Amino acid sequence: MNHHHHHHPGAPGVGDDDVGVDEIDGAELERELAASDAEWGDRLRDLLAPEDDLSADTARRIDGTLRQDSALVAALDLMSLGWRTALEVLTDHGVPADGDPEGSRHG
Amino acid sequence: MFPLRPRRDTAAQPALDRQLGALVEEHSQAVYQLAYGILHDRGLAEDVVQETMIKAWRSLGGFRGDSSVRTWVLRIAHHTAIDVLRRRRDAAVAPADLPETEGARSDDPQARAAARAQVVALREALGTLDDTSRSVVLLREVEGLSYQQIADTLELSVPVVKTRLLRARRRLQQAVEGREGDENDTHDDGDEP
Repeated sequence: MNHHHHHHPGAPGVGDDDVGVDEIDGAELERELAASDAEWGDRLRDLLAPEDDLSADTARRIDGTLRQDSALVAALDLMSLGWRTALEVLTDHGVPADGDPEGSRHG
Repeated sequence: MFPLRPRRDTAAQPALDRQLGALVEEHSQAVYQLAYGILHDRGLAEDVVQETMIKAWRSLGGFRGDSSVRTWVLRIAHHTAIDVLRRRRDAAVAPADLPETEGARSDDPQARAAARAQVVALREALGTLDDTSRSVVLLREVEGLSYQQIADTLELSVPVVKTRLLRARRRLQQAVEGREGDENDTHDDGDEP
């Protein structure tokens, strides 16, 4: 039998050990599960129901997050471009392309 | 292929990527309920929904189709919520975060109090379960997943899922009955002259 053990420190409670797998008679397990199958669904769904506009709200939040991410990427790109441009400008003015120290003043 | 339906475009929703929009439309409620059941905090549950959707969307290329998209998304949600829970294990639950059930909106103060007590009892009972058992209960009772789907989602065996579910139901029953017993005792005491 495949017994996975998922213990989370600090979360004591029922099910911490899987000893009960063989403790409960198979037929009794199936019978009791079937008998209690409809018992909790409505109450728990009621307890955990989201607001009506969850999908729209989630879409808005995700859109905002993705826009922020993309703005950040764009800003980083711009910064990188700015540095490169600045370097280019400095290079052009500092050292003539042909290596002539006098540059284009000899025209 | 993914059984994703095209997203409904509404004025209220921004134009997300089509697949991301479909994920949100199809699965956000299930993810929210699982996350809220684990975390007991609406704001954190909404964060988990967002994080899960983005993670799933970014990993769609690696989805092999071995399980259903729902099972796969819920597995991501479970791990994400458990991670958040571990970080916030000791955070207090604000009473104002309790949902309004039908009874809680009643005009009758006693009915409101009783409904509120039931919500509190159920939440406390959920809180007595370990993380995995709580997820088993939520996936079965709220999402209606089969035992096999729950086993796939939580990476457990089917017998373990069944046993945990049964023990969790017993625990919930005991906790709620105990709470109701306490409530009745309190009311009986209050009726004494």
